[in-house]
Amino acid sequence: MELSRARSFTTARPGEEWADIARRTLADQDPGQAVEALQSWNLHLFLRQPRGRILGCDVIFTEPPLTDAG
Amino acid sequence: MDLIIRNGRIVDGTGLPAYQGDIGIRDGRIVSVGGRIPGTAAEEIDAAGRVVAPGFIDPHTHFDVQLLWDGQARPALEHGITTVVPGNCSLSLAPLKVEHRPRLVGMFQQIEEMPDAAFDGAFEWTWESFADYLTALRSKLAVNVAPLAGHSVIRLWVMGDAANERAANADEIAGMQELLRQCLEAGAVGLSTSFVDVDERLQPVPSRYAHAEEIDALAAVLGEYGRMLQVVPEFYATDITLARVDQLAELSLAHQIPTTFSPLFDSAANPDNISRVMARVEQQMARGARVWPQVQTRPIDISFTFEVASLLFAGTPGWYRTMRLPRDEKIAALRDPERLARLLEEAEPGGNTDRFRNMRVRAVARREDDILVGRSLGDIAAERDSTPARVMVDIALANDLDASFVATDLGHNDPARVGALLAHPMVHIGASDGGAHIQSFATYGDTGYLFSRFVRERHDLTLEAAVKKITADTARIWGIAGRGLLQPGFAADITVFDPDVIDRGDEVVAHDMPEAGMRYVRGSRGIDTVVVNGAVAWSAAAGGYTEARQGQVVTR
Repeated sequence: MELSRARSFTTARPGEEWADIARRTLADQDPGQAVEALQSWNLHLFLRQPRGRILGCDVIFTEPPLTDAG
Repeated sequence: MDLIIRNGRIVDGTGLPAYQGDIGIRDGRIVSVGGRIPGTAAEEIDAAGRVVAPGFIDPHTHFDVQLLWDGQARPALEHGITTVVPGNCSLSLAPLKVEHRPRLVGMFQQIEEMPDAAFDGAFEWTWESFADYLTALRSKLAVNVAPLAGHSVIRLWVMGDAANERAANADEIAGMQELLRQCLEAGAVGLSTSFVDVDERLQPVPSRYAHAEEIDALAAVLGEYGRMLQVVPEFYATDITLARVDQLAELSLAHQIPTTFSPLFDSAANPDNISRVMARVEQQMARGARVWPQVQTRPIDISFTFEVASLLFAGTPGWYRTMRLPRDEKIAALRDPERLARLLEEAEPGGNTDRFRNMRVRAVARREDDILVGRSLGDIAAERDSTPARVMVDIALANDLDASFVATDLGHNDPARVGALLAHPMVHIGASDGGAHIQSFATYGDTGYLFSRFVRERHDLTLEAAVKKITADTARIWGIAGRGLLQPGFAADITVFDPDVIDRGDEVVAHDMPEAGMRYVRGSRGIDTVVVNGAVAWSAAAGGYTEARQGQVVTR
C-alpha cells in the first residue's frame, strides 16, 4: 500500500543547530530566511525554554502544515 | 485436577462466540476446556451465570515500585488484571546504579506522581541489574509481570550526568545496546522511551536527548529478540503524532519489531486527531509495520488538591512552582497579595477564566463549606463576584489546603467516538497508567468500564470482542507466550465475572500507600474470582485478596 503524502520532517543530527538543519533541508533558500521558516514551522520547539533548544529526539518539520489539498 | 471451574460461560479470548463448559487446571496450567469434566478437584468453583475469561492484561502501568511492597498490585488484581506491564515511558527501576537512585526517584515523582514515601523505606534496594531487580520481585508476586526496560535509566547507567546533556557517542551507544541485551536476556519484554516527559527539575528526561542513530541502534537489539518498543509521543499535537507513527513504522519494518505508542486520546478540542492518526496507522499497518496505538477506555478526569503539584498545573509554571513549595511557604505565597496577583494573571490571562471555570469542588474539610461540593468554580465565582482561580485559592486556604477539586471535562469523553475507536481492529486497548498519578485520579477499573460502558450499555463491542482485545490480542501484540487464551497448555490466568454487573467502582480516596499515603482508587464490581497461574488470588466469596503468590515474571 502506498503511503499518502505526509508533512515532511527530519530530526537533528548530533551537534546540529537551527542553521545547520536549515542548510541541510532547505539548501535552495537564503540561509537566514530558511532558519526563520524552519522556526516558524516548529514553534513547539522554538518557543520552549530555553528558547529554541533542539533535542535529539525532536520532530522538526521542514515544511508548513499541509492543506486539505495536500 | 487442582481446580475446576464449572458451568461457566466460556469466553476463551479468540473472539469466537461464548459457550458453556468446565475448565480444568493442574500445576498452574489449563488442562481441559469445555465439556463436563468428570470427577472432582481439590478446589471447585461454580461459575453458573458467570463469564469465564482469560485474565486481563494491562499493557501500560507504572506498578514498578508498588510491586515491591504490594505484589498484588492492588486494586488492579481485583479488577481481573492478571498480568501487568510496568516500566513504561522510559522509566524502570532497573538497570540502575546506586548513585542514580535519587535521579530515578525524582523522575518517578515528577512523571508518575509517586510520593516520597513510596521510595523511602517501603522496600530495600537490593539490585542494580535488571536480573537482580526481577529476583527481588519474584517472591512477592500475586500478579504476573511483563517488565519493560526504560531508555532513560539505560542512558543514565551508560552516560551518567551526560545523559541529560548531549548525544551519545559510538561507544556509549554500543554500551546501551549491550545493557539492553542484558535486560532482554533477563526477561524484559521490550524497551520504553519517551519524547515528552520532564524530570523533577522540569528538564527533559534522558531519553529525549537520544538522536535517531541511538534509537535505531536500540531498536536493532530489540529486533534480535523480536521485542516491543513503547513510546510516549506528543499526543497533544496531531502532526507530530503522525510523524511518530511514521518513525515507529520504519523502525518496525527495519528491525521486525512490534511498536506501540501511548496514549492516543480523543478530544473535542482536536476532533480530527483520531481520524488522521488512525488513517496513518492503517496505512503503515498495511505495509507490514506494527504500530499499535494504545487507547484508554475511561474519560480524562483529574482531581487535585493544593497539597501536591498536580500535572494539571504543568501548563502554568508559576502555579507549579508554588505547589511544590513546602507547605508553610506555599500558604504564605498564596496569602501574599502580590504573589497571588501574579498567579491569578497566569491562570486567567487578560481575564480569560477558561482554565478553571468548569472545575468542581470535590471535597472540603470544613463543614460550612459542604454546600460548595459538586459546584463549579465558575458558579461560585459568579456568586462571590470573584474569579474561578481566586475562589479556588480562597477555598483551599479556608480549608487549610484540605480541599480537593476535580476537572471532568478534559477530553476522551464522547462515548460514541471513544467506543468506535476502542472497537477499531488496530487499536490496542491500554494506556491505563495503572499505579501512576495516584494523587490525581484512579488508574484502575478501565476493564470494568470497557464492559459496562462499551459492551453492555452501548454495544460498541461484543463481549467476546472486548475480552479478546484485553487478553489474546494484548498477549499477541506483546509476544507474551502461553497467556491470553483459555486453551490447554496455557497458563491458568482466569477471570470469572458477572457480565451484567462488571464495572469500575466509584473513585474514592484511600490511605493505603506507605506511611498511610493517599491515593485515588476504584474497587471492582461484578468480579467473582481471579486466578493467577492456577491459584485463586482474589475471590469475592472468600472476602477478596488471598494469600496466593503465584505470580510470575513473564519471560520469553
